[in-house]
Amino acid sequence: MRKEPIIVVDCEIVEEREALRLHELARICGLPAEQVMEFVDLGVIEPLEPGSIRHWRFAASAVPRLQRAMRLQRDLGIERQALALVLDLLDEMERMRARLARLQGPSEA
Amino acid sequence: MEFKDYYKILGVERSASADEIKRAYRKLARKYHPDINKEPGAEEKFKEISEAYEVLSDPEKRAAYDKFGANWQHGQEFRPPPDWEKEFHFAGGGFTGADTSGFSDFFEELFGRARRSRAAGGGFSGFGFGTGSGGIRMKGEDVHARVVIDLADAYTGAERTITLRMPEQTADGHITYREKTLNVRIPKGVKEGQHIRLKGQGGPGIGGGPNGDLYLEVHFRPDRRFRVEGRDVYLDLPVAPWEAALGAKVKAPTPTGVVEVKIPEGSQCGRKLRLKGKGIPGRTPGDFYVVIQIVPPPARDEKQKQAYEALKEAFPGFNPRAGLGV
Repeated sequence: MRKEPIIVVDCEIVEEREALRLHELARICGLPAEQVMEFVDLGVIEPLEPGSIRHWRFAASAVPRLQRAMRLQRDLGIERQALALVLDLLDEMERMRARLARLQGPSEA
Repeated sequence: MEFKDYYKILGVERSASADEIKRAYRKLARKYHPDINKEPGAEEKFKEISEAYEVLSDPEKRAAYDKFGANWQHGQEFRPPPDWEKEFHFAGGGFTGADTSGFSDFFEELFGRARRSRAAGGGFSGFGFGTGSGGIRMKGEDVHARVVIDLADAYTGAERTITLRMPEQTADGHITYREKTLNVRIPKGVKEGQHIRLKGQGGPGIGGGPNGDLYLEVHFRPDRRFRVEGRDVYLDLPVAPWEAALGAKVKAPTPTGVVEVKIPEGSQCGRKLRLKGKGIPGRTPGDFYVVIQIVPPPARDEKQKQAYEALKEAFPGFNPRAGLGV
């Protein structure tokens, strides 16, 4: 395997952007835009404002949510129709666990 | 290299049917999937399960793996037979589509060809097609990878050296791999799960097209002292009962160094002290919360026991269980 010298790269935080367009979201998640539209139909992610697809904008938080949906689908074989529900339940569980951790105090580690 | 008993990992018999293997995998995956289970060690366990399933669910790989017979023990020192590569060709790509980046040396050695071809198929689907076939000009594929940083790096920014394996087409049309090392400046204020984009550092463009971009998903190395929620950072700070009751100035660690915190007089367990703006920096910086945890000292000798006795006498009506109605 060939090696090449180190290149120094500056970078930008994607989610610092105000809102992402459909094709930007698709690129970040490595999906064709049609598949992102399918995930919108399934309720996995929602555009910030309803309206025509051309004007769709997504919050940066759509990125981790979409990627999580993709992993759950791939690794656990979760049905497409159930993805939005599973994600909502996992979010709820995490919120409750965080609250519990705050109330309980120091974790045993 | 250690032998991996994939049947043992999935908890199935060597004679298990494809359906039994799938059911065993799904059950374990639901338990250990890192999107579901945030406990330390769950992710490693899930990778082990995925690796076992990648081999046992693919009839070709399973048949090859089964040739080793049942006498190998999990963890036993192992070398693949010298004719292994000649006998089996795993060029068909990954079977389950799982992320194979954390698979073991054992897997890499035996089935590495599949993994390498999959790396090309995953991040770089379509790479290589079109070159020299009549002026097709295409942007290179985007590449996705993970980078792990310390919480302190999110406060100050950091430089990380990452190494990626990139496919490259040789003159005769074969795909080879080269290592690409990037020194990445991670901007301060990055949050867990966010992505940073490195423009032009993805797959090579085709027919003179521009390169793709590299996206790095940021994760924090777990630090048991701190909890992070968005940009807010929480610390559970143990204090002595007298520090809480009388007030005190105590030292507290933050991701970027030690600070002195003023504990107000009469603090109860669980009281939150906010250090405004001392969370992860950003346009709206997060806050740093110190959550007070009162730790009573153990009474070991006579004098210390007397001190507790004196405390008991000083608070004759105190009932810590009043809220429980007893």
